[in-house]
Amino acid sequence: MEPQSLMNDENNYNYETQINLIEDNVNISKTSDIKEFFILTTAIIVMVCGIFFVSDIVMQIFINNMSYQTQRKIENFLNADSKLTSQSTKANQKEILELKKIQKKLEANDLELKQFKKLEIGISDNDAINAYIYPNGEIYFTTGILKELKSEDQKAFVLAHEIAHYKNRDHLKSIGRSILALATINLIGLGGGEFTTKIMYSIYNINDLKYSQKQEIEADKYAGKLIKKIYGTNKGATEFFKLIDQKQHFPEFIHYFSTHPSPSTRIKLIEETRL
Amino acid sequence: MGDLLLILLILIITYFTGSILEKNHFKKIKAREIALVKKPVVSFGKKLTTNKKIKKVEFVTGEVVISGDYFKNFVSAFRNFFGGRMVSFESLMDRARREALLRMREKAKTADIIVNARLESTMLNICEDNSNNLIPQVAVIAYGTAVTYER
Repeated sequence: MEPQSLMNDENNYNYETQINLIEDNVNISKTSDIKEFFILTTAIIVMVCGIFFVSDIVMQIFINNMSYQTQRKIENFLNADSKLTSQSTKANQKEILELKKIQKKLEANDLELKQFKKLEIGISDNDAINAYIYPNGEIYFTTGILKELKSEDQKAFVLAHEIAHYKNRDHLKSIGRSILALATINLIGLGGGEFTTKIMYSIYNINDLKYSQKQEIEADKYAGKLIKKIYGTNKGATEFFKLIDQKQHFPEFIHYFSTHPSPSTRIKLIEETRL
Repeated sequence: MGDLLLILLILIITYFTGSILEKNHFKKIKAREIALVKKPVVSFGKKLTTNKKIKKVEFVTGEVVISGDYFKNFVSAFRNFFGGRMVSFESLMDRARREALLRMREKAKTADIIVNARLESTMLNICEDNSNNLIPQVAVIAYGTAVTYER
């Protein structure tokens, strides 16, 4: 007997039968790609935000309870070499002396500042309107900002703002959180590939911007209050920000992705400290 | 931030281009499948027993190399992290498999039956250094023996 097979008899192929194509494709899931995208992206964002906030809380507790001696040890480890000599020229000595005088005034009005070591002041030859503080406590004014700062209270405001960063240990908090959060992201990223890690970094950076703005606001509030205490008014600070706003003239939404809040937000904040 | 915005823009563009291309591909596949529904028949069985006189026996192959678009690769990278069904690649594999089969059948258009047909797939970009920068690319190969009967 011949083996029974579908192929052994041509009559088995009934070509006249109506063709019924299977419309439902079982090999493709009903879930749409876009839905999948939103679910997974949300999961990643939630996870990174979670890592960020947990690292932040852990570091806040750790750094806020840290002694000043430990802080100094960490600062020395982070930034052992002073950059003051290389960046400050003799031509700036007059301005540095003036800033140091203001610094004394500030320290006299906030006793808490006395416990810190003497913060060095330097001038950086740069046209950008900026002032910054290094993790080792060295404060820099650019020549650009010094041209714009017209009165003593304006200079005092900028100096007090930078001192506030040091006082609040913002530098250590940022570094500590970055180490903890990025190490966690990297560890998790080992399972997800390089691309996923990169995306997680970017999400982390957005969180970091928001956090940085929070720190700037705190520093502005402190500086605003201190200047009002010393000079009786902090109108000079608001005038300075108005000037910056005119000079830079960035649209408002740009500041959303910046490390600093927009000048208009900062003006409002300083005005609030007058109340 | 800029890189994220750029990625988002590329994602939007590639989602739309990818969807349009996929839709068109499926449409073409369907039309070609309907055109070839009667002949040649594909059998994955090994044996062919027939009383008919055989005119020609030929080895036929159909091969396709397919890659996901940026959007699909992006979603799959995240899916790879959490695990589960790679929904974004399911349609891609379906397209590849059907396209390979169609190409094989089109090559054997005059044949009556393709026996002992097989489907195979292989990753094209497996690097020895186990690099993470793999672009998902897959080759699907369909092959079989095309048999033409004497008329």
